[in-house]
Amino acid sequence: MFNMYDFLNNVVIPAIVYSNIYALASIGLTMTYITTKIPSFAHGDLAAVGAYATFYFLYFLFGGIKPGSVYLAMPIAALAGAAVAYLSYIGVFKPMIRRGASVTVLMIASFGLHFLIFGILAILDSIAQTVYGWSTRNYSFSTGEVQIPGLTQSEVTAITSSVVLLLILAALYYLLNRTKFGVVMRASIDNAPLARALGIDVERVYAISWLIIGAVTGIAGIYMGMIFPVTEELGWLRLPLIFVAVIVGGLSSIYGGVIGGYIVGWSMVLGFNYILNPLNLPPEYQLAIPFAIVIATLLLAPQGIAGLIAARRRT
Amino acid sequence: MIRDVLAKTVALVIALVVVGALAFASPLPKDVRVLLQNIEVYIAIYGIYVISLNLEVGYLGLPQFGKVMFLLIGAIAVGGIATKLVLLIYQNAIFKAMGAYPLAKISDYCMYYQYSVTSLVNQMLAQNPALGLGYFLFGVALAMVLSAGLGVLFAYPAIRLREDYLGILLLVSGEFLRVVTYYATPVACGVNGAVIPDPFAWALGETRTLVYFIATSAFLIATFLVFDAIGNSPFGRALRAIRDSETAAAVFGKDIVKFRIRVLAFASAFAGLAGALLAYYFDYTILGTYLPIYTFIGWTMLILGGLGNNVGAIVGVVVYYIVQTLLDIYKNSLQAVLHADPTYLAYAIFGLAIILVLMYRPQGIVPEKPVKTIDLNKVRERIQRKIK
Repeated sequence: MFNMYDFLNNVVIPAIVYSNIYALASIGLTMTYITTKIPSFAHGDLAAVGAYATFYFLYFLFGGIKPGSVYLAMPIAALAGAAVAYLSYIGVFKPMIRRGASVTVLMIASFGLHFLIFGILAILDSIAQTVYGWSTRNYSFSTGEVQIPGLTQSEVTAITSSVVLLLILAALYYLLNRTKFGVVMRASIDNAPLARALGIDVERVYAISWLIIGAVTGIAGIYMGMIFPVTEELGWLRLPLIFVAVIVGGLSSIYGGVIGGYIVGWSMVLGFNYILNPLNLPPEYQLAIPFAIVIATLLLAPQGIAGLIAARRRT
Repeated sequence: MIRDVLAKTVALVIALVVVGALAFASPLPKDVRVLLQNIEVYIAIYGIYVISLNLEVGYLGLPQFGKVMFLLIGAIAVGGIATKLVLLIYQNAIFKAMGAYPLAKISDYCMYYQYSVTSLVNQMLAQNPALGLGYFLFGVALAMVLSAGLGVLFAYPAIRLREDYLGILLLVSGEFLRVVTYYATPVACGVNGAVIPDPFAWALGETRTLVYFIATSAFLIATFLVFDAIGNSPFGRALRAIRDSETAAAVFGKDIVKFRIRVLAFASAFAGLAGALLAYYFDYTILGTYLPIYTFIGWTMLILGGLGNNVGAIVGVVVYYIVQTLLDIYKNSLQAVLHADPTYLAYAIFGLAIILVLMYRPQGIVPEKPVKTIDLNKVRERIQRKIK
């Protein structure tokens, strides 16, 4: 018997929440890739930075996480993520790209950055734990979600995360297509040498894109913290799936990344409910589904969804 | 070429004998010696792992971000297959003692009586060192064969994908394999972890560590000899040519696909060997712990030591363990100063070290040396003869 209520609660709501989280995280990673050509291993840590900035802000201000308060902290998470992303571009990637480092070397550098950010975050929250006595690990932001009578917390999160995702996408669309900076940025992405020849400071454009990357990913960190326990590994543990979303999306367009995020979220939830559960397989196998999808994508159509759409347009 | 490689190998043997003597037969306090013994076994195992990574990364320039997969395969070969073989051999004795065949219902075995069965098997293996050795060698050989096979599988996408895509494919495949094998109980007891019978059950306490030190050192020496000979052969020179410019190497008639297949098969086999040794030494394995972090620890060691140089690979492993051990020793005083677990400090230090090395000393501690093939030496001799 098909039960509409169960279907909504067990499939649609979790799928939307997961999808929005991976879509938000993919926007940043896709932008990292199309601007500076780095599949960054430190990307997940930007989300962890956002989550911890939120935590410290709320605890210093209110001494705890109160309903609705995470939205007050959202600008802080965006600022913290943006600051760390900007510093990592200016401090590490820019000098290395100038010296002509290869993609593999940049990937390893981004991995070193992951270790560094991870270590610093962990030391900071151990200190906060001893000094202030806060439990800085394995907490959840779900109590900080706004409360709407008659709706469960995950239903509210599904709505709010969709609204935030749509707002960010609209803002990015406006920025890229309706402003002068957008024209400059698209020019730098499409053909950096030509943009440089026209007098565009490509490195400045990239630095500003890294600010955007950090801000969006910092916000993604808050939503990750609503369904996953927040630790220093919050973003790092999700990174393989973010890579899956980005690659399935095609690595070339931020909208592709959003579609990739939706494929990851829905495939996990649908696979769990309609493949793993009926076959009595362990629920942990739901991770294997997106991995299988990306392996197939890489072997059969490495250009991803955005690439397929672009190829169809050309013919 | 041979003389050069042999000289380095002899130096390695001497170094291993010296540190071995320091750890096993010196007047140092007992706890210091135990610490040294453990580190030395780890250095030998990780030395094999990083040398094999070096052939892929340092020589061929392959973005091998899925290296941990082959440690996992080693663990499966030992904890999943070789262990079951031993259980099969002793199943009648186990039936007599416990009243059940261990392989009849694998989930019960994993959950309830793994430990008691393994201690029984260990008692019997202690009486039969020859079987123990055979079981050890079987696990190692199986790990190498399976890993080589998996490595060859990855040569196919390696031909088609750009380096960043290939790196991510390898990373994700490692995670895929880990998730799938971890939650499948029949592979290696899944979430319970597999208890592995000790092939050297006759050796107890310090003797056991000594046996493992000798075994792993022997494998390290063999690995170093083989990989350094390969690196300094015309084959190794071709690999560097492919790394520096694929197109140019192809123009000179080098079949890049064949080189990648051989390198992936060979390097993966030795990484599988390292995985098997690790599993035997721990005498326990839990497949869920083979996280991508171990790939990156290998990379950290290699970057610090120096890419494209097998001596550098070993130096990197040693430096990593020295820093790690120093942090461990000063753990308590650091904890008091930092208010945080020094392990996190280790992460930050290694992260910063990787970035600084890549920015200011990309060649690492021991820089890459020019290849010394036979041909080059002969050419030099001829030139010198002519000058005379």
